[in-house]
Amino acid sequence: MASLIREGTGTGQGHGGGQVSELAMRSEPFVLEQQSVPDRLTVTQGSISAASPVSASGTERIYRHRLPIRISHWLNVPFLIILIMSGLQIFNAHPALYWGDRSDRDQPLISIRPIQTDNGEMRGITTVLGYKFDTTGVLGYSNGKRRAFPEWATIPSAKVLAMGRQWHLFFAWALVINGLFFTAYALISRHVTRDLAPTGKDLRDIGKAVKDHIVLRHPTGEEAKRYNVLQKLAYVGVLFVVAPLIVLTGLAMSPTIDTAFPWLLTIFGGRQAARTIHFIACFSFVGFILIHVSQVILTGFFNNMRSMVTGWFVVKRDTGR
Amino acid sequence: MDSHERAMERRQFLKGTLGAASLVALAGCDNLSQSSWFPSILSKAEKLTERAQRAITPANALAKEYGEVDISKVFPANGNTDPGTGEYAEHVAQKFANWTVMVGGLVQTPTSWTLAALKELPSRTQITRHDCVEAGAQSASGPASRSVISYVRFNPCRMPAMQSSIVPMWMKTGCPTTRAWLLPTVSTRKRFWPTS
Repeated sequence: MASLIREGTGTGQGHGGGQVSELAMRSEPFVLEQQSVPDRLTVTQGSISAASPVSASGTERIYRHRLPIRISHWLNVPFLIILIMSGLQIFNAHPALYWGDRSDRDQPLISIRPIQTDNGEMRGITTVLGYKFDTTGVLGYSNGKRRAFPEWATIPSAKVLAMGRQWHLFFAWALVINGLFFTAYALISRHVTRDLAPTGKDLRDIGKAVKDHIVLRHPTGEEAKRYNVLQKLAYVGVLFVVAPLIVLTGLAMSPTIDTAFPWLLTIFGGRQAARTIHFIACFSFVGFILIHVSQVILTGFFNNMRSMVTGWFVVKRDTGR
Repeated sequence: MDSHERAMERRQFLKGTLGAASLVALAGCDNLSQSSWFPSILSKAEKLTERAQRAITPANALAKEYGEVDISKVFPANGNTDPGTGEYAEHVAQKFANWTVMVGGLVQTPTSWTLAALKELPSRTQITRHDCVEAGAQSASGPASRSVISYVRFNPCRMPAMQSSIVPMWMKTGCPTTRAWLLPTVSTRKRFWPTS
């Protein structure tokens, strides 16, 4: 029996064997049901679920995330947080966004400004496409300071553009290198084609998936072993649309890169437009992170965290089958 | 204690822990920014950026030039227009008659020019974009840098550092032609960007 498990985990992880037996001993419900193991191995080999010791009490453990994916995932956590916060520091140096090549101060798409009212009071005013919002305390004016994003949202917390740029460009390299490593591994290991790319059936059933998400009904059993269609679209969207977009718009803001690849500015509609798209892509990341983290909490925080730390994920078997 | 209270307590605990953790992380970043060693690690990425950009940018690539219609209506100075030093005020009073600029570095003939001498060089006018976080197009006239450069003549391999650097040979083939420098006798900017 032990050799069977090792064989299963071996597809994804070199040192899986010891870990499995330790986990299996630690938790009682995972009594192995011998007959179900062999066919699972053939079906799931190489995909996100690599081995499936099934317990009598209706739960099943699957090897969900392989080591390189887990490392890449956790590196992204500090990288993205630092990039977002140092990016807001850079934004604060001129807290307005424009379309086109120039920043014509009289026509910003978005601006965040401190304004002094008639009675001498300071207010933070955020203007979006001409609509003004009072955002005192967070945007425009916070903690007695005139600054677009507040101190707790920027790296460094004080207004130091030069240092913000250094943080930002160092971790931009880190994110890009990690991203290339992830992409290469995900393509070679077929993580992209097996686990991330939505199938035709996925896309046809998207209505049901949306409904399930709205009422917070989460998949169980076989369905829980794979990503659902909205999850797949979110991951593919962030990995292969938003991430390349944020890198390219970032590059488009470099004067040297603009001389080398003038078409970059052409496709994004100008340097200030590239800065605006960079900002929108950044907040797409923020939105993704908020939804991702809340889904991690809602669908079993401990189980999800364990699966991204150790690789092992527990699935409840469908009761009706 | 019922389960609701326990959940509330747990939520309170989580909130407190998360808040404290992010404060510690923020303070950590600020401490790192002010340390003597960390910024020098961060600035290593600037070297990498420079090398990567040099490697992929054609040697004859130039900034895009714009037309008259593209000139910004408002073109604010980045930083400040007056460093506020006595030396600068003196230059202003003398209409920059004693102002000189020195061109040195990786060049055959280090030379200094007065403003009058610069004005005698062949001049050109160009409309280019000036980038920081803002970007504006402005027309600029003056001596073409190529007339200055053709006078001092580049000597890319003059610096001994070039031979002993750890840069791989293939990256060294085109010695970096930008390593020449211009040194005005007065700093026209106190700092690049106001810091507070």
